[in-house]
Order: sequence, then C-alpha cells, then structure tokens
Amino acid sequence: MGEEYKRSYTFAMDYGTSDFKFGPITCGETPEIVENRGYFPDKESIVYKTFETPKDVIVGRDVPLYLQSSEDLSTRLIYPLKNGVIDRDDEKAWRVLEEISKHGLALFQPKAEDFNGYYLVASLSSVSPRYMYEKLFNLYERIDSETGYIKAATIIPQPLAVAIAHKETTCVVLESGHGNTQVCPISKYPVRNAILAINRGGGDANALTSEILKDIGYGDLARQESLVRKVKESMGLIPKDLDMAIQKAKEDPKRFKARFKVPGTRIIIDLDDQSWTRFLIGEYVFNPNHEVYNSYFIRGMLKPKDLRVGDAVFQGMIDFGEAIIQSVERCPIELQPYLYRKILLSGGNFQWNSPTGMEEIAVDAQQKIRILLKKHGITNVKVNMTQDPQFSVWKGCIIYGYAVPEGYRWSWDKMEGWRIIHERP
Amino acid sequence: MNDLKLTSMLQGHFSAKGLEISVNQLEDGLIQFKDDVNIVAAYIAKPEHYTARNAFLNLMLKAASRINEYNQTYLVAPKLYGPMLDVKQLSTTGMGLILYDEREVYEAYPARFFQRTSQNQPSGLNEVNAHLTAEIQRLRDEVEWLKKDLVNLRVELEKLRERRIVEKAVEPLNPIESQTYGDTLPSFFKDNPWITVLSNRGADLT
Repeated sequence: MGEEYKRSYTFAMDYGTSDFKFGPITCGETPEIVENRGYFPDKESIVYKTFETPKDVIVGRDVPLYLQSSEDLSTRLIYPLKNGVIDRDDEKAWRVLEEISKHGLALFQPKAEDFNGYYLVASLSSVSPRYMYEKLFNLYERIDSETGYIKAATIIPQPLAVAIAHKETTCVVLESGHGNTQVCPISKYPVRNAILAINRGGGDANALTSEILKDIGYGDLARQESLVRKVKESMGLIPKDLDMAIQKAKEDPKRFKARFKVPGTRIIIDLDDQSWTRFLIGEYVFNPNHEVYNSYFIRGMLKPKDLRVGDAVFQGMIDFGEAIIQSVERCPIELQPYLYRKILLSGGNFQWNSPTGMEEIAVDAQQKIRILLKKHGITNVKVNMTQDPQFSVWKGCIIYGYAVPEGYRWSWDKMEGWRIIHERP
Repeated sequence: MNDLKLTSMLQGHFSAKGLEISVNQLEDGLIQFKDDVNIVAAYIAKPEHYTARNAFLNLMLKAASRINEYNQTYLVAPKLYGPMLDVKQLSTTGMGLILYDEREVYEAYPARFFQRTSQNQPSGLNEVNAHLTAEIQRLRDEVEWLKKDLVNLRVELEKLRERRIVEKAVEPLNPIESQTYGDTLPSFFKDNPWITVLSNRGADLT
C-alpha cells in the first residue's frame, strides 16, 4: 500500500488535556473536536433500568445528555489526561481513552471497498512515559480486532507534531497549556533526553489573578474560575521589566487603567490605582521568582512546586528563559545555536495582549522570551508564535502519517515508526 | 315530668326527623337517636343541674368533650330555665338546645352538624382485615402486570437500540468517497520540508 492509499486513509488523533482532536487526512484543514472526557453513568439508576441500557462509558457530544446529579460528577465524569499523563493503573481513564478513540474512528468509517484500515498517528505529551505508548498500542489492537479500522499505528510527541506543522525541522518548541509547560528541542527527531517539563501554566496565572481580585474587593467573583480566566486574558500584561512597569504604573495609574465588564451583568471590575497589578499576572507565567510574589505565597497562594509525573520531574519555579537554556544545553554544542534561532511558542498560555502605546513597558510573549534569554546571555534568538495553535498538532500528525514509509517499523529505541496492527491483504 | 314521658316526647320530636332511639341511658342523662347515617345525642338536664351552682356548666362540658362522637348534640332542659341559659356558650360549642314543658318539646337553638370521627370506618375488625387483604391482592396483581409490561418494553427497546446502532454504523460522518481531497493534499503540506525528511525515515537503516 503506497502513497495513494495514505492520501485517503491517514488518520490523526491529538489527545489533549481538555480536547480530543481527530480525523482523517480527508478532513482537509480542520479535524473534528470533542472534549477529551468520558462519563460513567450510574447503571443502577431506575431511569436507566426502566428506559435505557447505556454503554459503560459515554464519550463525545452525547455526554451532556447522560449527566446525572452534580454530586457524583467528580467520580463519574473522567478527564483521562492529567499533565499529559495517565497513571498505569487508572482503569477508568484508560477505558475513556479507548472509547473516545473508537468513537473517533467510527465517525469516519469509510465505505469504500479498498479500505483496509487507517494509518493512525496519535500524539501524546512529550513527557508521557513508555508504558503509555505500550498501553495505547494494546488499545489500538483491541479496537482493530473488533472493527478492522487500524492497519498500522504510531505515536509521536506533541512538540514534534507542532514543529512539523510549522515546517521547522530544527527548533525548540515551548508548549504551554493550562497545567504545565514543556520544552522540547527538535532536530529532525525530538531530542528526548533534552525534554524539560515545568509545573506551571495558565492555571497558575489564574490563581494569581484571583488573589489580586480578592485584594481589590472582588472576593465573590474571585471564586469563579472561568470569570477569573477572562479577567486575566483581558487585563493581564507581560512587563518588559517588572520593577520598571510597577513604578511607571504607580506614577501614572490612569495610563494603565483597566476596566472589565462582567458579561451579562452590570458588574464592572476596575483596578483603579491598583492597575500596576496587571503586570504581575503576565510576569508570573514567565518568571515567578520576583520578591513581589512572596506576599501572595505568605497569604496562602500555592507556590508552583517540583512535581514527579510518570518518569518526568516537572520543575515549579524555573523561569522560561532558564528552562530553554537548560534544555538546549543538553543537546550537542554544534546544534545549540540553530535551536536558539528558532523557538516556537505553542499553546493558549502564550496568548497575551500587548496594547499599542505601551510598547516600552508591556511586551508580547515572543519578546518576553527574548528578554529572558538575553538576561542569561543568550542573544541572536528568533521566537515565533505558532499559527492555528488548536489544530497544529493534528496537522503535524497527518503529515507524519502520510510521509513516513510503511516499511519504517516501530522501534522502542527511537520511539518511532509504524507498528503494524493487522496484516490483512 | 317523669322520665318516661320526656323520653316519649323526645322520641316524637326526633322521629319527625327520621331518627329513632338507639341507646337510652336516661339514668346517665343521655339518649341517642339515629337513622341510617347519623347519630344524635340528647343530654338531659336533671333537677340537680338547676340547683347546684356549676352542675349545668359541668353537663355542658361533658357534652362538649364528646361532641365529635355524634353528628349533632343537644342539651334538653325545662322551658322554665330557657331564659337563664347562655346561648353564646351553645353557639361556641356547636350544641343545640331543646326545651320542654308538659305540653310540648321544641328546638330552641339548632345544633351544628359535625362529621363523626368514627364515621365511614368499618365497624368490625374482620371487615377491616377483609378490606385490606382484598386491596393488597389487587395491588399484587397490578405489580405483576406492570412487571410483565416492563419486560416487554425492555425487549422492544433493545430491538430499537440495535437498529439505531446499525443505522449509525453505516452512516459515517465524513465518508471518504464523498470528499474531494483524495487527489489534492491539504494546504499545510505545501512546501513542507518535513515531507522529505520523514519520507527518508528508515533509509539510514538499510
């Protein structure tokens, strides 16, 4: 089976922490997307006993139709991936992953007679341990034995997929989501021993925003995470230099005035003379080590801690510049300048406002990374934001699945290649 | 007036309303009249009730304490004492007043009609047991029928669900043959150096 077959039957799955993006190459520019979660209905419920016998686990768009009382949602509604990892023994999470994978394939079940299974490319976090690969392959074999949907499968790290989608063969991908951030150097292959994980993401900036709201008298609103996130996105700014930004904002609060109207209400959040706190939010994502944050830690805000997840240690307080340097310095010396020349920022945690007229004080994520690297003596760097961050992993997987020859078989040393799921002619 | 004559005159008064004597305890000052449905009590005031200071009041209290046992309750007193009685007390309790003399018995103040607490209850324990047993049997029969219906409905639902799953399986969201991308690759393939890099994977192994 050659290129022509793959032109129709390459399939990609991106297992994100919150969303599952999936679909064949024939989807074109955008895949299907559903929340990466599964619901285990209470089959003892009299409603189900009387009227319906649901499946063990519900996935996809039907989930809201099956939700029962909110009291047991935390045990029945399972988001399988936490920090990009599923525990080896977390049976419910693996069950959800199997069901959602099967669901994705079933939605695109081809009718054509020549269909003999998809070339499936799945994408996992770069810090996913080896047992996740093993269990995922086993899961695909089970699905194929029931359905015949999968001819061959492979699994690649998400940063590699991002680099492929952005046509960068040598680069550093910095992927920052809600819960964590990964730094992954790529040189035609992901440099696995140089991958670095940080236990800090958009959720930590939300926590700081919540504390700021409490301090200025919006304690009631500070408990609503979705609202806090909107306030962060609307008001948060990345400072070029935090000390300077605070000084300027305190001298001239009107210039940095920020107001946020809570949608659908008459409530307006006005930072007023506390407008300088806008800069704390952005700085915290990139570098939480400034002494100004101590007052928040003392009052009970959780400090990002070092965390072991699977085989990886996620550092809590390392600044993004230092993290990139530590990662790159694990790569061959000759390669390092090339890696610094192309740094790709991916993920929602790099989407920040950079208002016009404040350029000398507030910067965007790319510039902040350049500033942090410069502080550590690294210059001549080029930093870019990924385009279309939501689907770039899926696109990279599709290209990978199409281009990698079928004869390139899976190797546990390289963690690459095709694993043949069925050999039917 | 002797008791016999008073009883006779009261009997005549209530028989005009379709009631007849059911219990005669005149020595205790009580005569009951009844028809098919209702029971009426008549408390007779005796001479001592007029002489002792609170005796009549006690009679009223005694009658009032049992007022729910009868549909109507009357006090019966000589006509001579009628003007001395406090009608307001009767009005408050709902009791009526019957006055009499040698010639006549008449209703000076009408009694209010009450629903008896024991009314409509089966009279005997056996009757109650028979009623409950029949009711339980009827409910058991109904549950059996409902169970059978439920089993049939489940079978029907299972058939419908199987049909739905089959229908869904043959209608994929995005059938390959309906797409036009079989010939042209998506735009993100264009000028992508990874195509060459990846297509050479494994070449270094051979």
